[in-house]
Amino acid sequence: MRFLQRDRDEREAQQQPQQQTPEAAPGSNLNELRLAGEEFLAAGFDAISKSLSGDSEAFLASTKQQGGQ
Amino acid sequence: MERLMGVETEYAVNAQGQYDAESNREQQLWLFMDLARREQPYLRDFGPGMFLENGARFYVDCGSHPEFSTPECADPWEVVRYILAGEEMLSGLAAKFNAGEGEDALTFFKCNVDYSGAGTTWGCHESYLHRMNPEKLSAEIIPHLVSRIIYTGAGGFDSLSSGLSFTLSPRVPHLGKVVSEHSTHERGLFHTKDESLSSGGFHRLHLICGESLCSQTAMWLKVATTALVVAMAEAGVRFSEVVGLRAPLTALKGFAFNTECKAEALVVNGKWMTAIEIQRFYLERAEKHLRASFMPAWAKEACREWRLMLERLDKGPEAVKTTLDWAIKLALYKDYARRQGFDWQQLPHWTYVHNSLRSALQIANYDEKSISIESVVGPGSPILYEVERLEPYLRKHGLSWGGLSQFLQLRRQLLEIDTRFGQLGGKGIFAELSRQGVLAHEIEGIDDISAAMKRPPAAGRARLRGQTVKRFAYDRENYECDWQGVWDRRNGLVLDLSDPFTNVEKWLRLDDKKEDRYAIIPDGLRERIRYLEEGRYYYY
Repeated sequence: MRFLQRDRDEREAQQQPQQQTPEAAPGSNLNELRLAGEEFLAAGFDAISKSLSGDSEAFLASTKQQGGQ
Repeated sequence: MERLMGVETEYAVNAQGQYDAESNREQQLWLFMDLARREQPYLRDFGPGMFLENGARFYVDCGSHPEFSTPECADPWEVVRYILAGEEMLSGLAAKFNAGEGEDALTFFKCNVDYSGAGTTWGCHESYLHRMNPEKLSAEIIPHLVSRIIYTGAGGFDSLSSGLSFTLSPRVPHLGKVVSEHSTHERGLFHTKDESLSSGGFHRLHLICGESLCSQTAMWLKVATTALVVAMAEAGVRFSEVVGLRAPLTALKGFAFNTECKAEALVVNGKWMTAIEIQRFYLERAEKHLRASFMPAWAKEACREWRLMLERLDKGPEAVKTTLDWAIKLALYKDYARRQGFDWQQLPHWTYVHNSLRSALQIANYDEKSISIESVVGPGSPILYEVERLEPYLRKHGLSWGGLSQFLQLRRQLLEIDTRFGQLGGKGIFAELSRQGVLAHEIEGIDDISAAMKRPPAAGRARLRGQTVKRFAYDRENYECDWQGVWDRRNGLVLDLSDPFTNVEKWLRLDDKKEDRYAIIPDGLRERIRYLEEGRYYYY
């Protein structure tokens, strides 16, 4: 079994504290990881913006339910 | 050794248009179920639900929400595949329903709590077949259930708070007992329901403390690790003497609200352990017994992925931010709050302030909905004493009353976002991110979802059930189905599925000598036999 892109996540976490080092030059692997992180957040914000109804209070009220286990 | 397991998922419903009133939702769901009956080959269950040709069950459960139970599965890949197959089916039916009723007339969500203030929680129950004394199992598995939330948590907000408290597991505030027989109140970490739905001395561990998840990795690990713990406990491996928790619910809450996974809990020998350490203890026991006959064939692969996940969690939430539900949400929600002008670290302060105001209004007998926030914090406030008391707190944290209404707006938005994270039908936030390829949650081997919508698992009674449903769906007026059998009313026969591992189609005659018949029919089915004998059938 292979978890897709796991390596990218791990490298990103390991290398975050070193982002201020001289190795973090444009075009480096670290830079690619930073860009991937930004891409993820930008995609997330875009997806969130598209999904919001514009009236969150009304939306939450219409999902109200009394039951559930 | 062969193991069987399965998952039931309750889906939240949002209704728009003519069905938006809560009172109409039940009517709407019945119309939806009518559509499902027209579209799907099925046999009726003994209630208003359907058993499907893939061996699964689809029904409307108490509280008027749709629920999908996977067929009995032999490994965690199968469980995930059939959960996703159920969701594909639900999404497809919703699209057809909405084509006739209007876009978004009916929307389903994979979420775990209701943020309307009703205090509702939707369940995601797990079942694991075993042969162990259930009373002994609880002590061995509870530390696992408490600590596994670091990778099984759905993430979200405490729905019982009037502020914004992010938690790894929003189900946690709804768990009030360590052990409980209830599932709609006083829910327990360990549910004592032991309805085996089988013969042969099996028990069914029925867990209600888990959550529905979007990440394939999280779903897979939840089922794989828990099935391994059950297998080991059944074989006599003991955990509680080392990682037994002094106060399981306290530990659960501590773990659930610590996104760094560094919270510690007191265990029986007086040591303090983090959730990762407790998980690692279970993992090492599993690795030690990898070659034992009681372990399933997939145990080695499960242990490898389990270990990798714990190593990643050791590095903090950043290391799993595109893989696990709670960590994905944490990263996205922090970013969203920042874009709205809020520092994530400020949210607990606003939560404290809002909770304090709300409590003061309640004490002063004010309905918070009947008074604007400007009036609450203005000079004529009915709770001026509380407003004045909170001012130094606000100043200390660099906040001002002017930010409160923006915080409440952010709160409403984040709660909607959290509900929409797991929206089915391709419009959900998770689905969108997965489609864009910015997540790393998928598991190799979870494929052929379309086939799993039509085909039952290859092993066990689910295969016979699915095949029988397919064969007799055209003649369904004469059949009923159950986890343990298929009932042919016209000919007085029952397909015996009481052995969960059976692969032989064995039809028994219902007019055999009564004692003999009862000897082969498990307890749970006797009432249903009486319904058949007395002609008290359900029609839906």
